[in-house]
Amino acid sequence: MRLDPRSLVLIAGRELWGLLRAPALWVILALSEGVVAWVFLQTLERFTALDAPRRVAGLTLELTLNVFGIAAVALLFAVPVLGIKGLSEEFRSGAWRLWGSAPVTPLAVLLGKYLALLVPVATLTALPLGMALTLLPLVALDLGTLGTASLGLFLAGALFAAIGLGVSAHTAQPALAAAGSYAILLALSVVGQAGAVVRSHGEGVFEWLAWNEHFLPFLTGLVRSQDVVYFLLGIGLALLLAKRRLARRIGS
Amino acid sequence: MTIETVLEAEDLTRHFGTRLAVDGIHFRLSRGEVLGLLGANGAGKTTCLDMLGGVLGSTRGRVWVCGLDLDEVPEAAKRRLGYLPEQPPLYPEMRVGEYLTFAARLRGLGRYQAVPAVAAAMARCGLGGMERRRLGQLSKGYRQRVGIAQAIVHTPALVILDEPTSGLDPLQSAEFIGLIQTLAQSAGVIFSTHRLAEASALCHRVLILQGGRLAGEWLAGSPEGLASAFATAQTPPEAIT
Repeated sequence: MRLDPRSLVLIAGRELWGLLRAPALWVILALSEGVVAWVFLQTLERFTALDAPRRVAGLTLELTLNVFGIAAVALLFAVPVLGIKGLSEEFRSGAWRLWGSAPVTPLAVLLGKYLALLVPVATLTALPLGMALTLLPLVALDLGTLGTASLGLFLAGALFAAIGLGVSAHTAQPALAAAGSYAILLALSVVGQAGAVVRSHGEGVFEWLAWNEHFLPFLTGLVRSQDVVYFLLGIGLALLLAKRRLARRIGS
Repeated sequence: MTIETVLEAEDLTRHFGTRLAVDGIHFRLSRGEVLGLLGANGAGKTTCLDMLGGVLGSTRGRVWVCGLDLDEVPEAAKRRLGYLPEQPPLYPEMRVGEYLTFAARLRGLGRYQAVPAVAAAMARCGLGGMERRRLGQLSKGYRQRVGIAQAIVHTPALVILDEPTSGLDPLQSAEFIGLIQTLAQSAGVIFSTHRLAEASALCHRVLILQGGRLAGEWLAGSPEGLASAFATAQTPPEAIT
């Protein structure tokens, strides 16, 4: 299927403006900023209160594990809410008929909406990074680890956005889309624990499915190709299912 | 003078699960013609128009817009049509001018072509001075006007309107009738309605749907009135002796 970049940019622009005008985005950003800042300050306070010999990890690692970790949780809760607006609400209000009758492909519609969602994801990714960078004049931080943690956080957010959008393509009920997104994300968060229970039977499969198992190496400064592939596969699969659903709905 | 066919539907059929919503409809529409779709609730009008507008796939059958197959070349075909669904497809947070510019650009107009096109569509639909109004704050009548404006902003050869006068007061309905007559000077217009008077005043031809099937057809100027044709079409065949 052809992808017209002009339509893609047009749809992404409209979606982004729609998100920026919705109070939901600003509330989410403000809450996330508050939570991430609180954990950042707690981490600093805990770290500075310890004597050097009692510190088990450097400041950079403390920051990535705690601050980027909580930012990932904030993304997990925030991004599906924004994703629902992308499709579910349009199916309910009938606004989707505008692009259904327009000369644009379902792929362009989906990718346009997805690109728009990546802007708040990038903004939320920048929050912990920005906070950590404010310490640079005072202490030496491992910029490489901060970079990998930011990459991991962005990939995780991109996966959450794709899942949110993917689920919202399957229902015209925003509440159902939200519940479905959270159910999938929760399952992908705890499935790694199931791996520990049944380790003797199917070693590695459950851990491989868990997003957090792939996120953790990024926080420690490791970029493993298997983790990058996991996130890209997850994003691709969610978008592919959403595209198939959209194409069926608009009959092209 | 040749008659240009802007819409052709062949064996148009749509199932929703086991329910047959539209069953094997054939018809043609020429440029300059106004075609009405008349039928009771659930007759299949909206499903039929959704398929013609490209927002719903057909289970069987084909649709050509200006000779272009809607399934094979959907983008090219959709560039030539404008569709107003029963519920105007609006984004409440957008302003009127901004929304119409988006609709125009979505349908292939360039940045500089969109500006005069939006101004012209707004003037035709009585939206002068409304550019900065938010869509979410408009009355039902003005939302409907914006809905029509988005359907005609790219001057399509085919205009599809699903119950454009539903929920409007008589004065607004009269304005819409005038607008549809103007549109028909340069395009083929197909619209659905419940109102017999509106259909008989506006249409060159009316297709009467019942249970998803084409149950009758009425031509303007025929001796039989539309009301009588509609009543005949609604009568089950076994009841006619």
